[in-house]
Amino acid sequence: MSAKTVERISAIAALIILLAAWIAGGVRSKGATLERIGNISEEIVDVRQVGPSVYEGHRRGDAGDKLCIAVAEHPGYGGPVQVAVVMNSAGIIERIALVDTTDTTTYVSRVLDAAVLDAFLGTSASRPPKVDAVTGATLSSTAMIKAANKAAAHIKGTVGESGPVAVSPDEMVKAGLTVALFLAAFLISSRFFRWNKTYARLGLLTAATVILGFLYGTQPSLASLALLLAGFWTKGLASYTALICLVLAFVVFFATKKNLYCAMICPFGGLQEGLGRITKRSPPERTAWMKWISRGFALTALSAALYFRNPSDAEYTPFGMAFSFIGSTAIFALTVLILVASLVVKRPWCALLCPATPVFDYLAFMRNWLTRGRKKEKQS
Amino acid sequence: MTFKKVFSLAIFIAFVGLCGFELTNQIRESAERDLASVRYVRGIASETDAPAQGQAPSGATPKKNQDFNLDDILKETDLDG
Repeated sequence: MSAKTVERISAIAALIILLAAWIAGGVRSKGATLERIGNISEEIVDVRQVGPSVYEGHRRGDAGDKLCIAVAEHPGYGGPVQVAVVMNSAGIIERIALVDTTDTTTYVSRVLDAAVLDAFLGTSASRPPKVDAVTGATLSSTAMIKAANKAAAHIKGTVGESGPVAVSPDEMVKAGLTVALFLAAFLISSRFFRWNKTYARLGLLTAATVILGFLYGTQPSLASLALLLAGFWTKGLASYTALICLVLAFVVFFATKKNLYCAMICPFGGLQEGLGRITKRSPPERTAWMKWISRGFALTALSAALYFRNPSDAEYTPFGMAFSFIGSTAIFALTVLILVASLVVKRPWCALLCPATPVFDYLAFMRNWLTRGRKKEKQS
Repeated sequence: MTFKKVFSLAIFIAFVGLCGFELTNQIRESAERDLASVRYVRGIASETDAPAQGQAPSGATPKKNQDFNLDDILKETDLDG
């Protein structure tokens, strides 16, 4: 069997696996809300829906002791954050639960450790407390607080179906700068650019590293791709920058047949290249089996994220740690290793295990395969 | 084998080990959360009924608080977050 045939079979198999994970994840999450409410506490029984986002049950062993449960969601960093509040017959919130979230686990843990949701306990649903966001996890904590407030408002009956969430002016600026960076990359790669392309590329890479990396700490990753494919963006996001960056990277890739994102915009790539420039080293040697392992990693992570409907499952990259110091101990060790290795070989992460490489490889392979088929049809 | 080949192999193995560990952890946590359905529960009646993160809610059922005093709760509740 030729290498080409193996590549084609693998490309189709990858597509089938992703599709199966997406469908299975959709089936799994159907009717999950009622099941999750039942799991908030074993003392809440006979739960039934009585209105949009509002459920009613009673305490186990006391049918007269009614409990009102409301569920609401608000866009977090990685998609909707769903919170449920349980109000007793006295009108007091006696339980609160984080029912579902697709935000990165580290951010969620930081908010929960700060006991943000606990502040709602014991308060009246008609007068929810004013709670401040948690520094370092602002988007996740704000989403939880707003979802809890919405749930309380659902019980009061003062909230209808939630409408679109307004994007903050800061996010608009971020999105604008991202578009500007891609326009600059497009211009530099074009034949109309008459100045030194090497220096222009390095200049743009430096600007992108400072703006997207150090200033905003936002970078598209496999989690952004999972977010895009799972469709969470349709329910609103607190920040669209990473998603816009990803979509623009794909658009530019199909328009120019060049991966301009990795070459000129990727902040983590810029960080590695900056370190590599000190020692002026060449890229590491990547063998064919390393390429396949890298592809296997990306496919496994993306399938898991689609099945569990949780984009953060696909996050094994060091981007968050490098610019925002967010991530596990393993990711911290990985980041340090990459930065040290960048002094010995050029862009080690990009060349060896970055998920962007298999994703763009896949897109290039499919594009070439499909366009070659069309060309043959036209010729015949 | 040149130094670059050995070095590339060594860092690749280290990357795979660390990323594999991270990915396995993420998937295991998601599977556990999936079984538990709810990620975090807190109740005013008893803190013991709140499951640890990623675990199913425990079977403990808090008793109904008959002499409920909102002032006492507000004293212990940090309203400023």
